[in-house]
Amino acid sequence: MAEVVLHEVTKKFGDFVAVNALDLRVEDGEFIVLVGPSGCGKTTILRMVAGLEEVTTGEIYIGGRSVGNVSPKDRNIAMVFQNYALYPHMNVYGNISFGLRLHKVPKREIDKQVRQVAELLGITDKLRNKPKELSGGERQRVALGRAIARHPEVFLFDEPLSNLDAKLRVAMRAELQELHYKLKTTTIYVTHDQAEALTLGERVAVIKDGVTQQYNDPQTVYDHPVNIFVAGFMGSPAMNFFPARLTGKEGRLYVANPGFKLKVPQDKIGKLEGYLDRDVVLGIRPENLKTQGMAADHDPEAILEARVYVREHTGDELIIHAKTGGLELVARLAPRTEVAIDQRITLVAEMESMHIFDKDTEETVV
Amino acid sequence: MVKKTMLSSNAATYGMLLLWALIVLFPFYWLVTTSFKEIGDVFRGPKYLPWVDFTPTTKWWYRMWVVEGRMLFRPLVNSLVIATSSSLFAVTFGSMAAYALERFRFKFGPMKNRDIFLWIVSQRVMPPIIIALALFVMFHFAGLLDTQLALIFVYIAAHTPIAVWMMSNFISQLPISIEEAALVDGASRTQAFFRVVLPMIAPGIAATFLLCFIFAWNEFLFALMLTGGEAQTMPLLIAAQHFQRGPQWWDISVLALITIIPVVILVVSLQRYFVKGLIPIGK
Repeated sequence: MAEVVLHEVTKKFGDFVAVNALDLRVEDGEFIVLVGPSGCGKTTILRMVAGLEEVTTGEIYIGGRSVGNVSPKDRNIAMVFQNYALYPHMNVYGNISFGLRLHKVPKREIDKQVRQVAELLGITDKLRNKPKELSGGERQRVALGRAIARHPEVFLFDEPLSNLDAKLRVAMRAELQELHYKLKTTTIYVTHDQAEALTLGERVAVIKDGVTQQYNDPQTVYDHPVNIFVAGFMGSPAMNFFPARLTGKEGRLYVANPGFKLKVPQDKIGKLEGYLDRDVVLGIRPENLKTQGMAADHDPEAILEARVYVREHTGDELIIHAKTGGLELVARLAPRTEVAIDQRITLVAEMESMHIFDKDTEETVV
Repeated sequence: MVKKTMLSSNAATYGMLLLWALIVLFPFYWLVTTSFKEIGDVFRGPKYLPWVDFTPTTKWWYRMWVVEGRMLFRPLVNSLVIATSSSLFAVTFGSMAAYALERFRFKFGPMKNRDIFLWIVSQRVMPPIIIALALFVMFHFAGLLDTQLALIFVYIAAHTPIAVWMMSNFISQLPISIEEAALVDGASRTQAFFRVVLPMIAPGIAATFLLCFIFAWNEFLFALMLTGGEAQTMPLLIAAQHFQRGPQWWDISVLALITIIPVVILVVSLQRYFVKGLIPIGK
């Protein structure tokens, strides 16, 4: 058990700055997720914690100890790789026990540990099999088992589920959560999948260009993104962004563009005063656009009209793509909403949940 | 209809393979039969089938093993010692160099990994005859002429580039994450190499060893230049059957077959390493 602290960590590959003066604190026993698009530096961060990549400047502490000059084998960490990286010439037992054997653990103790881990992961009947005889999910479990068996202070996961098919991925997600609940080991989990980040992380760090954009619990990241990048990255389908202008009239504030004119709720006006008659970006999540039937008593000044051009049924919901005043939008509607292609639809915007971003800095205003 | 075309295309395939097999195997057949022919049967026009157009004799084999046994024994041992030890060293050096070139970044003056690699492998581009005389002079002064050691040195130098080339091909195909997993699991670089990398590249090592061994086993030019009676190898002994007494085809055949046997044994015994199945999982 240990906390992990990154202090102003920078990593350069030649002139390319992969990680830029990053600060990150992972509490003892916490499960955090680093999420971001590919190439954002999240894997590099993980590899630096593992000791597989040298830190250009800055310090990394594991359990209060600076690990700058500590080789991976002495950091007491375990890592699960995207491609599992099982030892192909060893059977499952050999793979799980490899670390213990290196640490010269007595044979009987090793046997006990391996069987315990195999039991926990449900792979007891596979202990004699070689990795190539296993399915993707089983390999993933072996990789997990190899990490767990040594009782490391920190788990590092590098996109461990991305090679699995969709159904298995969801199942393993749940297993990982359960596992963390049982083991309570400090965990850093890297993924590009925002859904994985939101479901798994006790806290989520959204990374872009080697810089942390936001580091908070998943609900806060989702509900109160700090900028356009986080708002657009987290959530699927992604948030709708509309260029708009803030206009005032008789003590009321409207956010308007050629497609619509929506009233800003009174309680949000305060922060927006400086933006009166200026261009901003309006953000509304697809689930905050409803049909009139769905939104019970709605404000008549929170309505926009659009023409539908794509319908996607997912069974439990209906996603529509529509255009309003030349702008495209996506809305998530109730599954049996009657709407046809090319039909005009009236949508109610839940303005309580809207976001206004500064057009130039892309930071959240409200 | 479909079945018929498949059958005929199969027949064509097997026909081609059979033809090719005949072309490849006929010289061996000729070698074997010649080793059992009387002198008269060798020189009096082609005789193809034993017991049909000639009566086989075992006297050349008897003579070579029993009467001339001493003549045969020394070159055979020389060849075995030289080829085995030089190939072992070449493969060891080659694997380590290849691993280093694939896994670490080097700078040697203006040269980086690829340049160093090319520089090593390009040693093989030069025709060996160019340095033969220089080597002769060098070994003369070192007092190593006509010793096993001389040929061992030369073959290590000549075959290490091939080993580097082949091994780096094998190593570059290993996912680096497997080694990293070992490092994180608690292995040092050395442990990771010996306990994880080495078993995975075993087929490559077997193949490379075999190739180096065959090259060393068959090598003629340097053996001719650098050895005399003491450190003579099998190819020289075979050639001597022609040079010294005119073409003694029966003796040449017997010796050629004796020379082939160790390589065949080696290939068969290394075969289990060539079996696929150690190809790493994942990417």
